[in-house]
Amino acid sequence: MPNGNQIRIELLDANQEHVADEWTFSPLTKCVIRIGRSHENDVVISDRYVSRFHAELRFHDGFWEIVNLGQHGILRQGRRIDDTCRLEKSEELQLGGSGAALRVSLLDRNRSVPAFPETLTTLVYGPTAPGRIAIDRADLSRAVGEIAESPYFRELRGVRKRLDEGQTPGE
Amino acid sequence: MAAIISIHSFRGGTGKSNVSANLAASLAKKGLRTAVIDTDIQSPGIHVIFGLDQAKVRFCLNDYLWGKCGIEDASYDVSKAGGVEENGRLFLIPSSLRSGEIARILREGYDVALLTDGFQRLIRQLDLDCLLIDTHPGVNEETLLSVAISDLFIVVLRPDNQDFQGTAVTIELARKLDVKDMLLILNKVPTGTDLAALTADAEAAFGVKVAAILPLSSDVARAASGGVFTVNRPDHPFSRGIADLTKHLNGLVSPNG
Repeated sequence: MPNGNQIRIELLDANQEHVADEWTFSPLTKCVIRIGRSHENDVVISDRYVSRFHAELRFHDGFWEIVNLGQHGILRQGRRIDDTCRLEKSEELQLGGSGAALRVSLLDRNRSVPAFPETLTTLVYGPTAPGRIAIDRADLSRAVGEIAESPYFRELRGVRKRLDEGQTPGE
Repeated sequence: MAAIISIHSFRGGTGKSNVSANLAASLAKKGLRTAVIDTDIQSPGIHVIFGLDQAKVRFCLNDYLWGKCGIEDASYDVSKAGGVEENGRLFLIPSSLRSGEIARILREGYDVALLTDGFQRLIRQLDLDCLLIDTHPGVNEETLLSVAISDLFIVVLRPDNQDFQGTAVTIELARKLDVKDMLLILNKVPTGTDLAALTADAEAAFGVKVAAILPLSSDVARAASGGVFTVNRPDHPFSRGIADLTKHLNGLVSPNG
């Protein structure tokens, strides 16, 4: 799956060693990603030092930009961003002087990256991957048929029937 | 008549027990006499969410199944842990955490039909409006029995390829058992997901209504089953999802049936 201009946002833990949460977006479906404490954001960060609407990532002219919205600013390589800044490469950003740290990764379409989400157990589901819930109907029919023909299952159907007739299951 | 609700997932790790505990608490807070029974005997866990001290557990579901006690003797009032302050009551019937007793179940099995009698007796003895059955994952005898006697079958799944095919099998089996109502819960759904597209796709794939979508949440993970999440974080998106699910049950569950 091509990763054209996808962006991955990882929330780092307090020691900035482990990823506590992560989100991946594609500009094909979302050109503005809102980040903040409010649940109305796309990336919700429960951190009292993060503003309710702290920042936005905007895809503009083929590039992602970080836009500060909060009063506490954004720290990038120790320097404070108060307005807008283009992201040229993957880097770490801190929301405010004491707020959460984010690692923002630009997933280059030409770079070899893991085929996320197909190779991961928990996938990111979205309009970029329509029809992802695929059921093998033939396998389904075979599996259900095998179980439904068992004596125990037939007995259960009797239990159900008695219930529907107003009797207790054991009668 | 009390409503019997089975909560099931094909695979483990879907958050089924967490959903069961929070839904049970939500129903009890509405004034319903509610019990939740942990029939996941091989890998019990819901008692942790309610903070039930195993040292204070004299009898559990295993003891009932081995004829050591009545099933009501294995029920514990967890109303306080469930945030139930008035009217409603919340009971838990736990399975044993003792490794020897789990091993015995695996080695000897038990009479699954005893569960049916036990459910009916619980409803009578505790005067329940609603009995929730937290099932063992997968398709096995006790799961199918729980499905067969349920008024509502709730299936929890993640938007994960490992969950889809087995969930479809479980739902088809429930249809063959003429279960009256079924609902889907999509749990651990990542932020950034197009929820409308996911809902439409799940409903098309399984032919069952999606009653709630619950987030993949680091807050829930950090809580680590240390309490009933909706009690501690009532305004969290996870809790709002449980509230959505509870609303879906309005027509099915009511005080005194």
